[in-house]
Amino acid sequence: MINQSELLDHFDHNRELILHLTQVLEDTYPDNMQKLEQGIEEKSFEEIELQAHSLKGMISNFFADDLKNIAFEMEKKGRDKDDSQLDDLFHQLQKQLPQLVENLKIIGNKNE
Amino acid sequence: MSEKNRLLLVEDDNVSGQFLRTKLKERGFEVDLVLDFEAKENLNLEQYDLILLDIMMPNLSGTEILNRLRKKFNRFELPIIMVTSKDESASIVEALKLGANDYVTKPVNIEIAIARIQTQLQIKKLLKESLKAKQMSTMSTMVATLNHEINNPLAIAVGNLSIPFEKIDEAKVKKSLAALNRVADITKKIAQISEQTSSEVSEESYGENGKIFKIEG
Repeated sequence: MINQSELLDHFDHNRELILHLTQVLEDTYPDNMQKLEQGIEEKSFEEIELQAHSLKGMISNFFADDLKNIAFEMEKKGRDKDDSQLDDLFHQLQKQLPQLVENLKIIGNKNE
Repeated sequence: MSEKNRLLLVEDDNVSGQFLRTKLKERGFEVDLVLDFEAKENLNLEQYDLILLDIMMPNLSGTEILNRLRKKFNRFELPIIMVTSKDESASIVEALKLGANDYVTKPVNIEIAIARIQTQLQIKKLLKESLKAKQMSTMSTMVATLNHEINNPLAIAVGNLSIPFEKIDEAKVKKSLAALNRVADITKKIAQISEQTSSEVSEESYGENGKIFKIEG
């Protein structure tokens, strides 16, 4: 799920910073997810594009490419005003984001 | 110790924003992070050496902010580097056309970002130095010209009044008076130029008492 070597290189092996930004992610993403869900319900494609884009940006810092690609798929669908599979993609994000947070915490707490 | 460069980072994504701020601070920059630019309408932008600006943000997009900023500051006065995703090529082109100096892509590679920031800061510094040298050269030419303009009438006045008193006739007095009036006009002109220009470049001081001669163009 996470490309750990790229993650550690990106953070210069600063696990404290990984933990700090994991906490920021954990505090921030529920709001994006809530707005994304609302956007899907209301078929507000602009909102879908914006929230998915924001999530993609946050996730990209942690080198979780599969999850980032799901967010990117949603962003493109928002841009193209395509409402197919939005629920499915949303549920994948909803399921995998907490897992990403947990995995990041494990990496952040590991001693080198 | 040299003064730290101060950067403004406008980024709605708090994770990317905090990552970049931490990394840039580690490298000696002063960094202010703003998550919502629109809410900071009274922000004094003159205090920043460079802005890092996310392209896609809610409320006010990076390109809209860029467009606004370019009406106040040109590329050299305030360099702006856009922060984008790899898939935003159309927005990158638009931003460059609107006056962005450069861009970096997310996740931001800190070495690349710093190289690009340093390049822009170096260009800004060189341009400032070149402008300063041009101003100095102009001022030097102006001082030489004014010196000549004052010396000529002064020599006439001194020459006319340096002869024995009984030999000074009305014509000589009139000539001397005209020459001294010319000197007075020139000194007034110098005072006017000095007052106009010293307020424009208040921090710089090339002349006495903080006065500076600055000629545009």
